Amino acid sequence: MTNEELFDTLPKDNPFTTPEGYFDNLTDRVMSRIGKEEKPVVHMNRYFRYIAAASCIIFVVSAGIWFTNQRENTPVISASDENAACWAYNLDKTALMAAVLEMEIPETGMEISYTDEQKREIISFLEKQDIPIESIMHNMNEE
Amino acid sequence: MSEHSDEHLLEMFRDENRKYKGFSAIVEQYKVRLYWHIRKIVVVHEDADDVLQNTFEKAWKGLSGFRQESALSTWLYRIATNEAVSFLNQKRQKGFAHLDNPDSVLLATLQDDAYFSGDQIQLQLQKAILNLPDKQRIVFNMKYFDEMKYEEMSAILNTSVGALKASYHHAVSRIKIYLESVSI
Repeated sequence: MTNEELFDTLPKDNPFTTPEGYFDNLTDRVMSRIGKEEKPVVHMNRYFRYIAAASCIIFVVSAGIWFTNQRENTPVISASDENAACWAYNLDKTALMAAVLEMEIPETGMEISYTDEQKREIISFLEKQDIPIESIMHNMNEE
Repeated sequence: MSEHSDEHLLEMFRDENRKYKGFSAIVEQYKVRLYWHIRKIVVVHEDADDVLQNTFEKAWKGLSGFRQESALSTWLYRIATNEAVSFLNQKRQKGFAHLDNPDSVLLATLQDDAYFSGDQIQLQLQKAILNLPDKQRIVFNMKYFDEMKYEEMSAILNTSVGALKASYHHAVSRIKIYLESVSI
């Protein structure tokens, strides 16, 4: 018997079966399984994404500046730029002077007096820092 | 139910609002033929069900990257075939088969299978098929039962048409020898 003759006598029917109704709910089962695997995805509007990204950048930059200022402002007198100087003598002149003289910062409301030598040290320091001396001197002479 | 074109199914899937619906339509369209393709490889219904679910899960994860270099059906058949063969290899490695006859479990399952309704001749034919190496078995099933063209098989199995014809020829010869030995 040739191969062709043999296979002509053999059935081509599918001898396997499935449980009744197996295919009826198969799609639902597959989709249910896929749904469980999937994590919810939040879709953002394109403009909202830009705003969110810009907000993140602004936050990071602001935080960086804030931390830098915190470090630069401690001690107060080490700041050399004009803004820091203004901040120092307008808001906390006592602390400024104490730091220049390496003194302990007096408690709020306590009076502090300077000798001529101390005043020269302060002036010398402020000159090095490009801080307007006339204004400082005016404030000190008022005490 | 009428069949959707690959283009239509993929268009639905790629639309975020219709992604689930699109994939559901793909499952609906291909579930039966993929099931039978897998079932003929792994034999047992419960195993075929597991492998089919894994196949669709892989398809779901990979479909976004599908570049349509082949037909959708070819791509799905390829996943199904790989999954089924991997499943069988794992089953063999776990020791579910005897060393002298790797598919003895499959053969035994066939005889006791509640979901096998073939007569004696069909049982012997299936036993003969199960005695073939995996590749020959897959090629024989696709050609003999599914009447698939060699070109399509070549795309699915990533094998040349010439090699597939040779595999089919060897399979036929071995089945004939087996059937003659059991006096069919």
